Amino acid sequence: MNLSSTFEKALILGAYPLLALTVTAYEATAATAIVIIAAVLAWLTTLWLRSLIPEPLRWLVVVAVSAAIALGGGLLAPFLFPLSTAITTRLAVAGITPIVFIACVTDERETRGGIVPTFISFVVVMLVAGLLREALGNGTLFLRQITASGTAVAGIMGTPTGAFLFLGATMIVARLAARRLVADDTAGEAHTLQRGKR
Amino acid sequence: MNEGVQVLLNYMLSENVMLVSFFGVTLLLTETEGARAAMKGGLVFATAVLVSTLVGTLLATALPGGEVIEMLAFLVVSLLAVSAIRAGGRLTGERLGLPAPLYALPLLVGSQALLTQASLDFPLTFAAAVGVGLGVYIVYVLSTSMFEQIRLTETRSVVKGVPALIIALGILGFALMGFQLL
Repeated sequence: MNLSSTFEKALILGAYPLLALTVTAYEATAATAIVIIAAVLAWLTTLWLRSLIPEPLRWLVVVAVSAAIALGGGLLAPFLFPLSTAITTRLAVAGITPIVFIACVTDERETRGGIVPTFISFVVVMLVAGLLREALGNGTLFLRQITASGTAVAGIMGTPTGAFLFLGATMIVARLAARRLVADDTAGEAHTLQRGKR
Repeated sequence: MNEGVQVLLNYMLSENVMLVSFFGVTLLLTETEGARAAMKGGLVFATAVLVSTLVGTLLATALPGGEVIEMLAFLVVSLLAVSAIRAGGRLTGERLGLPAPLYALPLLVGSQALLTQASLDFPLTFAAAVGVGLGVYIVYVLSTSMFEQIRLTETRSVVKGVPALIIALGILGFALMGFQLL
Protein backbone atom coordinates (compact mmCIF):
# COMPACT_ATOMS: atom_id res chain seq x y z
CA MET A 1 0.00 0.00 0.00
CA ASN A 2 1.64 3.20 -1.14
CA LEU A 3 -1.10 5.66 -0.20
CA SER A 4 1.18 8.00 1.69
CA SER A 5 3.61 8.65 -1.16
CA THR A 6 0.89 9.12 -3.80
CA PHE A 7 -0.94 11.50 -1.54
CA GLU A 8 2.22 13.43 -0.67
CA LYS A 9 3.12 13.63 -4.33
CA ALA A 10 -0.26 15.21 -5.09
CA LEU A 11 0.22 17.68 -2.26
CA ILE A 12 3.78 18.64 -3.13
CA LEU A 13 3.40 18.80 -6.90
CA GLY A 14 -0.11 20.11 -7.18
CA ALA A 15 -1.65 21.67 -4.15
CA TYR A 16 1.15 23.79 -2.73
CA PRO A 17 1.81 26.03 -5.72
CA LEU A 18 -1.91 26.82 -5.95
CA LEU A 19 -2.78 27.35 -2.32
CA ALA A 20 -2.02 31.04 -2.21
CA LEU A 21 -4.99 31.63 -4.51
CA THR A 22 -7.49 29.12 -3.20
CA VAL A 23 -8.75 30.79 -0.06
CA THR A 24 -12.40 30.31 -1.06
CA ALA A 25 -14.29 27.30 -2.41
CA TYR A 26 -14.93 29.06 -5.76
CA GLU A 27 -11.23 29.85 -6.17
CA ALA A 28 -10.32 26.26 -5.32
CA THR A 29 -12.83 24.92 -7.87
CA ALA A 30 -11.56 27.26 -10.60
CA ALA A 31 -7.89 26.43 -9.96
CA THR A 32 -8.58 22.69 -9.83
CA ALA A 33 -10.58 22.77 -13.08
CA ILE A 34 -7.86 24.73 -14.89
CA VAL A 35 -5.10 22.38 -13.72
CA ILE A 36 -7.00 19.25 -14.69
CA ILE A 37 -7.92 20.59 -18.15
CA ALA A 38 -4.34 21.79 -18.72
CA ALA A 39 -2.97 18.42 -17.58
CA VAL A 40 -5.24 16.38 -19.84
CA LEU A 41 -4.59 18.52 -22.91
CA ALA A 42 -0.84 18.66 -22.25
CA TRP A 43 -0.84 14.87 -21.88
CA LEU A 44 -2.68 14.46 -25.20
CA THR A 45 -0.18 16.82 -26.83
CA THR A 46 2.69 14.73 -25.48
CA LEU A 47 1.14 11.55 -26.83
CA TRP A 48 0.71 13.17 -30.21
CA LEU A 49 4.22 14.62 -30.28
CA ARG A 50 6.03 11.61 -28.81
CA SER A 51 7.26 10.32 -32.14
CA LEU A 52 7.71 13.70 -33.83
CA ILE A 53 9.76 15.79 -31.40
CA PRO A 54 12.88 14.76 -29.42
CA GLU A 55 12.79 14.74 -25.59
CA PRO A 56 14.13 18.21 -24.56
CA LEU A 57 12.04 20.06 -27.17
CA ARG A 58 8.96 18.05 -26.21
CA TRP A 59 9.07 19.47 -22.69
CA LEU A 60 9.24 23.01 -24.07
CA VAL A 61 6.13 22.36 -26.18
CA VAL A 62 4.31 20.84 -23.21
CA VAL A 63 5.21 23.83 -21.01
CA ALA A 64 3.96 26.23 -23.69
CA VAL A 65 0.72 24.28 -24.25
CA SER A 66 -0.14 23.98 -20.56
CA ALA A 67 0.71 27.64 -19.91
CA ALA A 68 -1.47 28.74 -22.83
CA ILE A 69 -4.42 26.64 -21.61
CA ALA A 70 -4.06 27.94 -18.07
CA LEU A 71 -3.84 31.52 -19.31
CA GLY A 72 -7.05 31.05 -21.29
CA GLY A 73 -8.68 29.38 -18.29
CA GLY A 74 -7.50 32.18 -16.00
CA LEU A 75 -9.04 34.79 -18.27
CA LEU A 76 -12.31 32.84 -18.63
CA ALA A 77 -12.69 31.84 -14.97
CA PRO A 78 -14.03 35.21 -13.68
CA PHE A 79 -16.96 34.84 -16.13
CA LEU A 80 -17.85 31.41 -14.71
CA PHE A 81 -17.09 31.90 -11.01
CA PRO A 82 -17.38 34.97 -8.76
CA LEU A 83 -13.64 35.69 -8.57
CA SER A 84 -11.66 38.88 -8.11
CA THR A 85 -9.83 40.16 -11.20
CA ALA A 86 -6.54 40.09 -9.27
CA ILE A 87 -6.65 36.31 -9.26
CA THR A 88 -6.49 35.82 -13.04
CA THR A 89 -2.73 36.33 -13.22
CA ARG A 90 -2.21 33.76 -10.51
CA LEU A 91 -4.57 31.30 -12.17
CA ALA A 92 -2.48 31.62 -15.32
CA VAL A 93 0.46 30.23 -13.37
CA ALA A 94 -1.66 27.15 -12.55
CA GLY A 95 -0.70 25.64 -15.91
CA ILE A 96 2.94 25.40 -14.97
CA THR A 97 2.43 23.69 -11.63
CA PRO A 98 4.35 20.42 -11.84
CA ILE A 99 1.29 18.21 -11.40
CA VAL A 100 0.37 19.12 -14.96
CA PHE A 101 3.58 17.51 -16.11
CA ILE A 102 2.92 14.26 -14.28
CA ALA A 103 0.47 13.53 -17.05
CA CYS A 104 3.31 13.93 -19.54
CA VAL A 105 5.81 11.62 -17.86
CA THR A 106 6.74 9.00 -20.41
CA ASP A 107 7.49 6.31 -17.84
CA GLU A 108 4.83 3.64 -18.42
CA ARG A 109 4.85 2.52 -14.77
CA GLU A 110 4.20 6.09 -13.68
CA THR A 111 1.39 6.60 -16.17
CA ARG A 112 -0.43 3.37 -15.29
CA GLY A 113 -0.03 3.19 -11.52
CA GLY A 114 0.36 6.72 -10.31
CA ILE A 115 -1.58 9.21 -12.33
CA VAL A 116 -5.20 8.49 -11.42
CA PRO A 117 -4.79 8.26 -7.61
CA THR A 118 -2.48 11.29 -7.71
CA PHE A 119 -5.02 13.42 -9.55
CA ILE A 120 -7.92 12.21 -7.37
CA SER A 121 -5.91 13.09 -4.25
CA PHE A 122 -5.12 16.48 -5.77
CA VAL A 123 -8.77 17.28 -6.53
CA VAL A 124 -9.98 16.14 -3.09
CA VAL A 125 -7.28 18.10 -1.25
CA MET A 126 -7.85 21.28 -3.26
CA LEU A 127 -11.63 21.23 -2.76
CA VAL A 128 -11.52 20.29 0.92
CA ALA A 129 -8.80 22.90 1.55
CA GLY A 130 -10.87 25.55 -0.24
CA LEU A 131 -14.04 24.71 1.70
CA LEU A 132 -12.36 24.48 5.10
CA ARG A 133 -10.22 27.56 4.63
CA GLU A 134 -13.17 29.66 3.49
CA ALA A 135 -15.31 28.45 6.40
CA LEU A 136 -12.63 28.86 9.04
CA GLY A 137 -10.78 31.84 7.59
CA ASN A 138 -13.62 33.99 6.23
CA GLY A 139 -16.70 32.63 8.04
CA THR A 140 -18.39 32.02 4.67
CA LEU A 141 -19.12 29.05 2.39
CA PHE A 142 -19.41 29.72 -1.36
CA LEU A 143 -19.43 33.41 -0.33
CA ARG A 144 -22.52 32.91 1.91
CA GLN A 145 -22.12 33.86 5.53
CA ILE A 146 -22.25 30.85 7.86
CA THR A 147 -21.20 32.33 11.20
CA ALA A 148 -23.81 34.28 13.14
CA SER A 149 -21.76 37.40 13.74
CA GLY A 150 -19.89 37.29 10.42
CA THR A 151 -16.58 36.78 12.17
CA ALA A 152 -14.02 34.19 11.12
CA VAL A 153 -13.52 31.22 13.44
CA ALA A 154 -9.80 31.04 12.65
CA GLY A 155 -8.82 33.98 10.48
CA ILE A 156 -5.31 32.58 10.25
CA MET A 157 -6.56 29.82 7.91
CA GLY A 158 -7.67 32.42 5.38
CA THR A 159 -4.09 33.58 4.83
CA PRO A 160 -1.89 31.84 2.26
CA THR A 161 0.52 30.63 4.91
CA GLY A 162 -2.37 29.11 6.90
CA ALA A 163 -2.47 26.52 4.15
CA PHE A 164 0.96 25.27 5.19
CA LEU A 165 -0.42 24.26 8.59
CA PHE A 166 -3.51 22.69 7.03
CA LEU A 167 -1.50 20.58 4.59
CA GLY A 168 1.22 19.70 7.08
CA ALA A 169 -1.49 18.30 9.35
CA THR A 170 -3.17 16.57 6.37
CA MET A 171 0.11 14.89 5.45
CA ILE A 172 0.60 13.61 9.00
CA VAL A 173 -2.97 12.21 9.05
CA ALA A 174 -2.36 10.53 5.66
CA ARG A 175 0.84 8.94 6.95
CA LEU A 176 -0.93 7.69 10.07
CA ALA A 177 -3.74 6.26 7.93
CA ALA A 178 -1.26 4.57 5.59
CA ARG A 179 0.62 3.10 8.53
CA ARG A 180 -2.63 1.79 10.02
CA LEU A 181 -3.64 0.23 6.69
CA VAL A 182 -0.27 -1.51 6.42
CA ALA A 183 -0.61 -2.72 10.03
CA ASP A 184 -4.13 -4.03 9.32
CA ASP A 185 -2.90 -5.82 6.17
CA THR A 186 -0.02 -7.41 8.08
CA ALA A 187 -2.32 -8.45 10.94
CA GLY A 188 -4.80 -9.89 8.44
CA GLU A 189 -2.09 -11.88 6.67
CA ALA A 190 -0.74 -13.22 10.00
CA HIS A 191 -4.26 -14.26 11.03
CA THR A 192 -4.81 -16.09 7.72
CA LEU A 193 -1.46 -17.88 8.08
CA GLN A 194 -2.29 -18.97 11.63
CA ARG A 195 -5.68 -20.34 10.53
CA GLY A 196 -3.97 -22.17 7.69
CA LYS A 197 -1.53 -23.87 10.09
CA ARG A 198 -4.39 -25.01 12.34
CA MET B 1 11.37 55.30 5.30
CA ASN B 2 12.52 55.64 1.70
CA GLU B 3 9.89 54.23 -0.70
CA GLY B 4 12.42 52.03 -2.50
CA VAL B 5 13.63 50.49 0.76
CA GLN B 6 10.04 49.90 1.82
CA VAL B 7 9.24 48.11 -1.47
CA LEU B 8 12.45 46.04 -1.16
CA LEU B 9 11.58 44.99 2.41
CA ASN B 10 7.99 44.25 1.45
CA TYR B 11 8.97 41.87 -1.35
CA MET B 12 11.74 40.33 0.77
CA LEU B 13 9.56 39.69 3.83
CA SER B 14 5.82 40.30 3.88
CA GLU B 15 5.25 39.42 0.20
CA ASN B 16 7.91 36.74 0.00
CA VAL B 17 7.43 34.74 -3.19
CA MET B 18 8.48 31.48 -1.54
CA LEU B 19 6.32 31.45 1.57
CA VAL B 20 3.61 34.09 1.20
CA SER B 21 2.87 33.80 -2.54
CA PHE B 22 3.78 30.07 -2.56
CA PHE B 23 5.42 30.17 -5.98
CA GLY B 24 8.71 28.69 -4.76
CA VAL B 25 7.34 25.90 -2.59
CA THR B 26 7.99 23.15 -5.14
CA LEU B 27 11.63 24.21 -5.32
CA LEU B 28 11.94 24.23 -1.52
CA LEU B 29 10.49 20.74 -1.21
CA THR B 30 12.51 19.14 -3.99
CA GLU B 31 15.92 20.86 -3.72
CA THR B 32 16.97 19.60 -0.30
CA GLU B 33 20.74 19.85 -0.42
CA GLY B 34 22.65 20.38 2.86
CA ALA B 35 22.75 23.73 4.63
CA ARG B 36 26.36 24.45 3.65
CA ALA B 37 25.76 23.74 -0.05
CA ALA B 38 22.57 25.82 0.10
CA MET B 39 24.58 28.95 0.86
CA LYS B 40 26.05 28.69 -2.64
CA GLY B 41 23.04 27.10 -4.36
CA GLY B 42 20.73 29.74 -2.94
CA LEU B 43 22.88 32.44 -4.53
CA VAL B 44 22.43 30.84 -7.96
CA PHE B 45 18.63 30.62 -7.57
CA ALA B 46 18.34 34.11 -6.07
CA THR B 47 20.40 35.68 -8.87
CA ALA B 48 18.38 33.86 -11.52
CA VAL B 49 15.11 34.99 -9.94
CA LEU B 50 16.33 38.58 -9.54
CA VAL B 51 17.50 38.91 -13.16
CA SER B 52 14.52 37.07 -14.68
CA THR B 53 12.03 39.07 -12.60
CA LEU B 54 13.60 42.35 -13.64
CA VAL B 55 13.91 41.42 -17.33
CA GLY B 56 10.47 39.79 -17.52
CA THR B 57 8.68 42.67 -15.82
CA LEU B 58 10.37 45.28 -18.01
CA LEU B 59 9.64 43.22 -21.14
CA ALA B 60 5.98 42.83 -20.17
CA THR B 61 5.69 46.57 -19.63
CA ALA B 62 7.40 47.42 -22.92
CA LEU B 63 5.64 44.87 -25.14
CA PRO B 64 2.21 45.70 -26.53
CA GLY B 65 -0.41 42.95 -26.86
CA GLY B 66 -1.87 42.20 -23.43
CA GLU B 67 -1.71 39.19 -21.18
CA VAL B 68 -0.98 36.52 -23.82
CA ILE B 69 2.22 38.27 -24.95
CA GLU B 70 3.11 38.94 -21.31
CA MET B 71 2.78 35.25 -20.44
CA LEU B 72 4.87 34.28 -23.48
CA ALA B 73 7.58 36.75 -22.41
CA PHE B 74 7.54 35.34 -18.87
CA LEU B 75 7.90 31.80 -20.18
CA VAL B 76 10.77 32.63 -22.54
CA VAL B 77 12.64 34.55 -19.82
CA SER B 78 12.01 31.72 -17.31
CA LEU B 79 13.27 29.05 -19.70
CA LEU B 80 16.42 31.11 -20.34
CA ALA B 81 16.90 31.49 -16.57
CA VAL B 82 16.46 27.73 -16.09
CA SER B 83 19.05 27.09 -18.82
CA ALA B 84 21.47 29.43 -17.03
CA ILE B 85 20.87 27.64 -13.71
CA ARG B 86 21.46 24.26 -15.39
CA ALA B 87 24.66 25.58 -16.95
CA GLY B 88 25.81 26.34 -13.39
CA GLY B 89 25.34 22.67 -12.47
CA ARG B 90 22.01 23.00 -10.61
CA LEU B 91 18.55 21.59 -11.45
CA THR B 92 20.01 18.56 -13.20
CA GLY B 93 18.44 15.10 -13.25
CA GLU B 94 14.96 14.24 -12.02
CA ARG B 95 12.92 14.83 -8.88
CA LEU B 96 9.86 12.60 -8.20
CA GLY B 97 9.96 11.39 -11.78
CA LEU B 98 10.02 14.79 -13.49
CA PRO B 99 12.89 16.87 -14.92
CA ALA B 100 14.22 19.09 -12.09
CA PRO B 101 13.95 22.40 -14.06
CA LEU B 102 10.15 22.11 -14.08
CA TYR B 103 10.07 22.75 -10.34
CA ALA B 104 11.67 26.18 -10.75
CA LEU B 105 9.15 27.39 -13.35
CA PRO B 106 6.31 28.39 -10.95
CA LEU B 107 8.80 30.51 -8.97
CA LEU B 108 10.29 32.21 -12.03
CA VAL B 109 7.03 32.86 -13.89
CA GLY B 110 5.11 33.71 -10.70
CA SER B 111 7.64 36.34 -9.58
CA GLN B 112 7.42 38.10 -12.93
CA ALA B 113 3.61 37.98 -12.95
CA LEU B 114 3.48 39.31 -9.38
CA LEU B 115 5.68 42.31 -10.14
CA THR B 116 3.98 43.07 -13.46
CA GLN B 117 0.64 43.11 -11.66
CA ALA B 118 2.04 45.61 -9.14
CA SER B 119 2.68 48.15 -12.00
CA LEU B 120 5.65 49.87 -10.37
CA ASP B 121 7.95 52.38 -12.09
CA PHE B 122 11.53 51.33 -13.00
CA PRO B 123 13.40 52.29 -9.78
CA LEU B 124 10.73 50.61 -7.64
CA THR B 125 10.64 47.56 -9.95
CA PHE B 126 14.39 47.25 -9.47
CA ALA B 127 14.01 47.53 -5.67
CA ALA B 128 11.20 44.96 -5.75
CA ALA B 129 13.26 42.54 -7.88
CA VAL B 130 16.18 42.83 -5.44
CA GLY B 131 13.71 42.20 -2.59
CA VAL B 132 12.35 39.10 -4.37
CA GLY B 133 15.90 37.78 -4.93
CA LEU B 134 16.93 38.38 -1.31
CA GLY B 135 13.69 36.80 -0.09
CA VAL B 136 14.36 33.70 -2.19
CA TYR B 137 17.92 33.42 -0.84
CA ILE B 138 16.96 33.81 2.83
CA VAL B 139 14.08 31.34 2.67
CA TYR B 140 16.05 28.80 0.60
CA VAL B 141 18.96 28.76 3.06
CA LEU B 142 16.65 28.69 6.10
CA SER B 143 14.52 25.93 4.60
CA THR B 144 17.45 23.65 3.70
CA SER B 145 18.98 24.23 7.14
CA MET B 146 15.69 23.32 8.81
CA PHE B 147 15.33 20.21 6.65
CA GLU B 148 18.86 19.08 7.54
CA GLN B 149 18.09 19.57 11.22
CA ILE B 150 14.78 17.70 10.90
CA ARG B 151 16.55 14.78 9.22
CA LEU B 152 19.00 14.52 12.12
CA THR B 153 16.35 14.80 14.81
CA GLU B 154 15.08 11.66 16.52
CA THR B 155 11.31 11.78 16.17
CA ARG B 156 8.46 9.60 14.91
CA SER B 157 8.64 8.79 11.21
CA VAL B 158 5.06 10.04 10.73
CA VAL B 159 6.18 13.60 11.43
CA LYS B 160 9.78 13.42 10.27
CA GLY B 161 10.79 14.95 6.94
CA VAL B 162 8.39 16.87 4.73
CA PRO B 163 5.44 17.31 7.21
CA ALA B 164 7.69 18.83 9.88
CA LEU B 165 9.35 21.06 7.28
CA ILE B 166 5.97 22.25 5.96
CA ILE B 167 4.68 23.17 9.40
CA ALA B 168 7.97 24.94 10.18
CA LEU B 169 7.71 26.85 6.88
CA GLY B 170 4.14 27.83 7.77
CA ILE B 171 5.26 29.30 11.07
CA LEU B 172 8.13 31.07 9.30
CA GLY B 173 5.61 32.41 6.75
CA PHE B 174 3.49 33.89 9.54
CA ALA B 175 6.58 35.55 11.00
CA LEU B 176 7.38 37.10 7.61
CA MET B 177 3.80 38.31 7.12
CA GLY B 178 4.11 40.11 10.44
CA PHE B 179 6.49 42.58 8.81
CA GLN B 180 3.56 44.16 6.94
CA LEU B 181 3.54 46.79 9.67
CA LEU B 182 6.74 48.29 8.27
